[in-house]
Amino acid sequence: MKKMVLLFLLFIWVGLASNSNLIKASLFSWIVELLERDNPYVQIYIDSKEYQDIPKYVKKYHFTRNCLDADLLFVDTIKDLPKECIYGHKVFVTKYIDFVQNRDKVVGAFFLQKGRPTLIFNKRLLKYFGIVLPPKYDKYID
Amino acid sequence: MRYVGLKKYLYFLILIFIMFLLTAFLYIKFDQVLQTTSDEFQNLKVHEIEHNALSISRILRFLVGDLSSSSGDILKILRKNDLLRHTIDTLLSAFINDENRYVYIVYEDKGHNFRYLADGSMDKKERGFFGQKFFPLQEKKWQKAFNLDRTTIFMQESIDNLWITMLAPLHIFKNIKSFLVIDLSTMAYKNVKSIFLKLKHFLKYLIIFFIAIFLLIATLYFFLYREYRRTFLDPLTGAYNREFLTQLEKNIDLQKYIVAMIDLDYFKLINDLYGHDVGDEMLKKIAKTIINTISYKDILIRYGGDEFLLLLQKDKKEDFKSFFDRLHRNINETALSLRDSSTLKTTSSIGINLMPNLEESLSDAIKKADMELYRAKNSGRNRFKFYETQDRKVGGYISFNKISQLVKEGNIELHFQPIYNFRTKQIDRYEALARLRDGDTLYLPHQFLIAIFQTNVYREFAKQVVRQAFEVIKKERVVISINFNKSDFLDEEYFKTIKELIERNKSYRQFLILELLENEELKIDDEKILDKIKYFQRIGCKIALDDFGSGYSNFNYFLTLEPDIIKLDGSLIRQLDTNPNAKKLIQSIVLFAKHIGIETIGECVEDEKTLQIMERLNIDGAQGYFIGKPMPYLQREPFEVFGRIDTDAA
Repeated sequence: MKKMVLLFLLFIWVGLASNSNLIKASLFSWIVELLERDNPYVQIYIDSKEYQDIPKYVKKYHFTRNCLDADLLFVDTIKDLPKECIYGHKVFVTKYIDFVQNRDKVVGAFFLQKGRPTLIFNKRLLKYFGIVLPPKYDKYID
Repeated sequence: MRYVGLKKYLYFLILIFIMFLLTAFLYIKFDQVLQTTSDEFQNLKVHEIEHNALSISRILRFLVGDLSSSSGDILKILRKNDLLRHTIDTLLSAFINDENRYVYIVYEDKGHNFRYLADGSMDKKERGFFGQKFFPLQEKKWQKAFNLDRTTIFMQESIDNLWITMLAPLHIFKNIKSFLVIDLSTMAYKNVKSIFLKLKHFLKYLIIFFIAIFLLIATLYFFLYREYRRTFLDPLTGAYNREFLTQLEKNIDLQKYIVAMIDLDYFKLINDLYGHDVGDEMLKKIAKTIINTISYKDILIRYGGDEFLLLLQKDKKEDFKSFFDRLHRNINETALSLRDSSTLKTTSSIGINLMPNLEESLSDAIKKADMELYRAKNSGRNRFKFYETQDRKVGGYISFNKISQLVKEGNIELHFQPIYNFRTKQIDRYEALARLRDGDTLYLPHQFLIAIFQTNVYREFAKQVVRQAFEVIKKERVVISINFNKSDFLDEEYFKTIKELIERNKSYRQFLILELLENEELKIDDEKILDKIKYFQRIGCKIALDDFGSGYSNFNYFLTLEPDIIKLDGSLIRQLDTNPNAKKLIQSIVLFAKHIGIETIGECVEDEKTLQIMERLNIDGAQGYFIGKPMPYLQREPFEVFGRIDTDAA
């Protein structure tokens, strides 16, 4: 019975969640898996209007309000982020322009454009953090 | 059983059901219609997009064509030239509207990545930068489009608010493969779809409405049916009751029925000896027997305690004598098993009126049948008797069996009454009148026809009359008219017999006139009869209307029957000399008939003066004792009895 109720709630949840939110959530999980696959206690910081709903859909990670504690940071703009949170942290931005202009600070950009999810990894910072992505994801590296 | 008045509800119910089926069919097929419309709409939009793509590539060619060809690498040019990039973006943005949501150019780099070359999106968040990687969701389709280098269109299923994406190759930049991409929003499609969905909803409500109406009428029908049975059916026998008879009397067409009264002999004794329960059971059984013997078109009414009224449809294949033989036998054979294992039977007496249409009303017709029932009872019961008219009784009684025997032996004689033609002053046709000879006695039609009406004997009689008439026509080459009742042709067997005979005499049909008697009304809508009569006209026979100006005749016949000849009623002709109104009436009929090309013949001409007036009135022909009486031979000259007269003096 419990399973049935859960299944029912899942259907309701899937029904209510829009396509773009589900895409975002699944990609978000995918990014975390790629970058922090060896870290079972990954902490994530989100300061983004674009991604503020992610915690509702992704429950398996720990979300923190303190950027210093975070392993991964998702921010709309890097300007508002304290300097000590930038360096040594894997920062993701949600605008392509931020990615282009802060190639020495952000590890990648992740956003929806024209309804399509767009994910770009910064080659230099990936190397800096010693992250090696499987070859099939090469096309996402810029 | 006939549920008079209830049928309309049943028809309405059927109509609602058909409408429900139609609507349901439309509803089921609606998705298919929507799909077709959507496909058509898609084609329309695709055509529009292609047109846009063509316009954009032309302008682009104009903008960058020279630059691209001179230096060879558009990417380098664009990287350096902010103004050109901005111009292209602005150009693309001009094509963005509510339906064309995104318009942009994508190229494939050397690493087979897709990158933005230009983007018309005004929203910063949506705008792709020059050189930015582009990740399509349906990558394989994109790859295929780039590889084939041709226009490709595909539906977007996983992107919110996007309907179709179209890729059109731009063959204007050297060294790179670029495509103009237009993402079409779902708005336009949604608009079309919402109209259809509204229509579909309407159909759904219509179906519900029809179901509700259907149920409502079905319920109404059920209650009415129950009420009808309660009001008009006898609860004991299941036959109709007197109340039904009262209703029926108002709208019955007596021409279509014969009336019979059935009475069970000594039924009171059954009630007295065995009790009313047994009597009731017996009545039930007898009623069931009668209902099983008659057809559903016939009407059985419980007229009194043990008396039934039967209204029998005339259009039966079986002749009435055989039918009543069978009915009488079936009633007499009906047995009720009693508790002591014995069986109870009863006999019946039946009085039959074969021509109720000659009576003023159904009540009168029933009275005549009742009189005959009384006679049957007085003659010893357990028999059926046919009612004979007063005329027939005056002329002498002749039994059915006797008529049957005389007809079978071929004792039918044709007498011919001459018809005088005013124009040729000659006799140019004859009316054949049948007589039945029994030794020295000669019976006139009214003395035997009623008794055999609608029986096999009647058919045989008609057959012999027509056959004899054709024999005379063949021998003498004269025009002969034969009398028919209009209702004769209701009888399929009769019609078939006459039809076969006439068809067989192909070369002589034009000599035969079918003279329709005016003793019964022909309803204008009685198309069955009309069709049959007109059939004879079509194959070459002529149609004459007898006794026009009296009885049931009316001017409508001119239009419906389109007769070739009308025979003016004798009662009017006789008054020509004395009654100016009769003269005027005849004058009007003749004028009208002439106007539409119908020949006129006056009947019952008994004196010279009448003949002269008729000639002055421009009537075409005359018939009557003054011209010549019906004789067993063809009278060649007119006025044989009175001596030749000078008709020119008239």
